[in-house]
Amino acid sequence: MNTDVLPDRATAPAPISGARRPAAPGLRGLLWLTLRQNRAVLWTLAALLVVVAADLVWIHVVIRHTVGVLKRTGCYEPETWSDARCWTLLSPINRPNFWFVSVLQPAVTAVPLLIGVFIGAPLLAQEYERGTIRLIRAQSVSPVRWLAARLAVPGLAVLVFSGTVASLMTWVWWTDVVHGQGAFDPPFQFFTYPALGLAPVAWSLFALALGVLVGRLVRRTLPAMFLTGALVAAMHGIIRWGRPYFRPVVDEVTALPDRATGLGAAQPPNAWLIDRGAVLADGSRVSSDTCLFSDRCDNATAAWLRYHPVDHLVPIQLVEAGILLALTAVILVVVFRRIRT
Amino acid sequence: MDDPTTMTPALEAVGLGRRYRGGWALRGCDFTVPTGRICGVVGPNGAGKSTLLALAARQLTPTEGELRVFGEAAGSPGQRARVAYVAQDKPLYPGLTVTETLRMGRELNPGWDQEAAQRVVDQGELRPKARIGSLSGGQRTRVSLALALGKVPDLLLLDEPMADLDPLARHQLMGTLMSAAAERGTTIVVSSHILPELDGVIDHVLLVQRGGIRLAGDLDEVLDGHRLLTGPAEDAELPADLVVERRVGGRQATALVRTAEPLEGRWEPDGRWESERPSLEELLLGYLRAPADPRPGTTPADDHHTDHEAAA
Repeated sequence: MNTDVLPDRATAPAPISGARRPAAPGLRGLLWLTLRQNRAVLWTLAALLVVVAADLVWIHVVIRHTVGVLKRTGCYEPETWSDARCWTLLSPINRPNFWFVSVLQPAVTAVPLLIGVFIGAPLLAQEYERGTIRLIRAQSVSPVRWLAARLAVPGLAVLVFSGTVASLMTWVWWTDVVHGQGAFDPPFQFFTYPALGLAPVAWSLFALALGVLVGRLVRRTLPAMFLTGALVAAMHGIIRWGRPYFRPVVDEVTALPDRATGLGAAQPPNAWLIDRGAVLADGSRVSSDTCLFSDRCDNATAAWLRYHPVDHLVPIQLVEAGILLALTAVILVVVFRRIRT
Repeated sequence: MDDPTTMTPALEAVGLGRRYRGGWALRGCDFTVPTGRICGVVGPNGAGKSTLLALAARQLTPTEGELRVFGEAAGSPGQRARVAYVAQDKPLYPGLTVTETLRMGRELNPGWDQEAAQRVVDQGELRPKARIGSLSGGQRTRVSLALALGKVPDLLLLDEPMADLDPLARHQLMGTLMSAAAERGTTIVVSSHILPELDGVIDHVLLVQRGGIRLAGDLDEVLDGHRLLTGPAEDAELPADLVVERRVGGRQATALVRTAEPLEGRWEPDGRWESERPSLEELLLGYLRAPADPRPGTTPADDHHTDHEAAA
């Protein structure tokens, strides 16, 4: 035996091939390769996860502390904030609130797009661009099993990453932001909704799969990255357009508010107002947009509102996640069919 | 090697054809490569050599006909383990080191022979920790060949393997390949347009020209079936259907003729003609220089065609 060969390495495959069919190498082999290939991705995700988690814990601690101080000093209620002393005590809450609403939420909103562009699109595009797909096809392992391992490692990493980020974001939002003081952050807002609950997880998995498919079809890394980014953004637009219809809206007719404030009949707190307007004397409805530029609403008899109350958040997210995960499954079927040939 | 494999030919093409978007790269190919042979696939650039090897490696699927590998018409898990393939562009993961690349070979191939692969790498004095991306073309070729040999295949398909190697490395690696073939009875199919590279090495030949097989068979039989005639230019009346190629230089005429059918009775070289057995190079150059009858529906495809992925 050559002295260059480590004895354990040289003899290692023997017991494995004895237990299994010799033609099918164990997943361990493929797992090793995909872990090695995804090393940079895994480290990046782990580092980002630590940074985001530390950020969120810091936000939670600062807000909890400030709220504790406000409660002990009787400065918790907004009516007391005109007092200079209370205002000073309240001010430490602004920074974590700003950080959460203006930095973390937009960042988490962008996470799926970044995952699709930087993890999904290059995954197969690079294999085709560099010709290494032919190297893989020349090995004993079947291309379908190779693809399964190639997708499973980054897929699980993205699932763990987005799942942890989403839970931490939702937890801080629920305990400290939406019920807390000093921040206005209703759940259906543009940068709030995609950073809550199931949305980051479903969108991340969808964007990853979409990137993989685009990479398989385009076979060039850079064009695949650009196209994936554009498609994820377009999909975001489409889903956002369809989101109000994921659950029937609450349709409410209320008494007219006083003349001074116009048609300001208000939806419940944190609800998503879809449309509102005036009910005219003949029973017909006019949108508030029309009222602004005409006097037709002057003889309105009542106001009407269409909105999603806050407890529609979870059902709407479930419908949205269902759509995205079904699309993800379809994409995966197409990718696996494409690799077999 | 067990008996059934020696009975089935390593490669058997029946009406094999492959079309790319641009046209047919190969069409109407029928040939057999018996097990245990070292078969040279020769022909001009763009003749279809790479396509032929990619079809045998199951990187491509035939558009028509079939190419049986050890009797199997399509790829199977068992076959994948028996066939090794080194593509012309030697694809490897640039981010992996030499050691990691060999580890990949070990992890993905059940019958891996680390010693054989390591020997090829060590011969080239490659740093084990060098990244593939930092290696020269010749060094990458060496790693690719190590991967193929470590797989311990029954059929080794090499597409222009030696093109970017220096003469010493070429000689070394040819020696390694030949000893592997001799020890294990590996069938080797090697394409090349560097003819001296194959001389004295191959014992079977496939001449690919314009997407078709011009000549196929045992090298000795093929060479015995031809004569290289040299004689006076003015007396160059030879039976046209037997002449492969004929050149007149000054007062001398040289002709390559097929003698598979006996010449006797049709035409007898008299004393002024010198007749000798052609060398491999003379034979192939004769065929390559002679215009082949264009095959209907066949267009010369680019040999460096990178569209190796099978169409859906």
